[in-house]
Amino acid sequence: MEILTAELDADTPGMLRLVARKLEELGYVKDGYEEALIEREEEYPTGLAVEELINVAIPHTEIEYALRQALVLIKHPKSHFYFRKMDEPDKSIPVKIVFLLVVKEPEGYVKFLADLTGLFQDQNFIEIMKEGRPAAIARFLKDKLDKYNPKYKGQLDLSRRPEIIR
Amino acid sequence: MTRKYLIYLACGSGAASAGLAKDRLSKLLYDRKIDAELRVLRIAELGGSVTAKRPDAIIVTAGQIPRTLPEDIPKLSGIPLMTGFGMDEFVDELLRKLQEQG
Repeated sequence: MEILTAELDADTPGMLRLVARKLEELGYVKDGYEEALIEREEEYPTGLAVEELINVAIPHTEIEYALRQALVLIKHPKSHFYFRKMDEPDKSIPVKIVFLLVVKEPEGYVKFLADLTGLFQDQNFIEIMKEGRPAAIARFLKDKLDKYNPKYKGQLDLSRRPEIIR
Repeated sequence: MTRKYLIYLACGSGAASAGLAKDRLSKLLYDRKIDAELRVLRIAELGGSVTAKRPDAIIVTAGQIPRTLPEDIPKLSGIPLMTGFGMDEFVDELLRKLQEQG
């Protein structure tokens, strides 16, 4: 699982499209991923309000599109992304940080979601999600997750050069 | 000793968020010595599965709960099992609803 980061000044569908195209260009996903991701978010939105602490979103689509596993951390440089809520699709929430997940097997989702949501109990993580830039969040996540899960490696800033920093 | 309950957990993919909810709920129920079979489904499969075998409760982690499901089956949002906040209260409520069913 590689961790990628991006800061994108776009609305939610625009952001998802930009990331999807970049992922396809870099060989993480197959052709058709972009539309599948957008449709999936439309049908089953992924905005998640974590108590009063923070709103996040965890967009994903069917595993058949994945070629290489990745976690993409995305923030808006100035504002928020609006996502509809997972449990109340009629409501939109302003999301601070997007965790877009590309995994090859369903267990990958469960494992990552368990790791990620487990960290919601950590006040330091909440703070860094709110205030930190995606690269800082990626480092925090990597340090924490590496302890249990050495699979997470590397970091790639999608909004800059497509180059993996190991 | 209570009987064994059948609980359906559903999300869009029938894998990601409902899978996580199942892992967490099975541990919470085990700790409370509640015997339950937890089955993960896609939201789209819920209607058919409920008709085929009626569960004691339905937990939905993502998406709207279909309105066509029988009204007398308890339905709960599984978000506490996703975020990890309010999980004990969630299990309290689930057990209360299961026990009301008898």
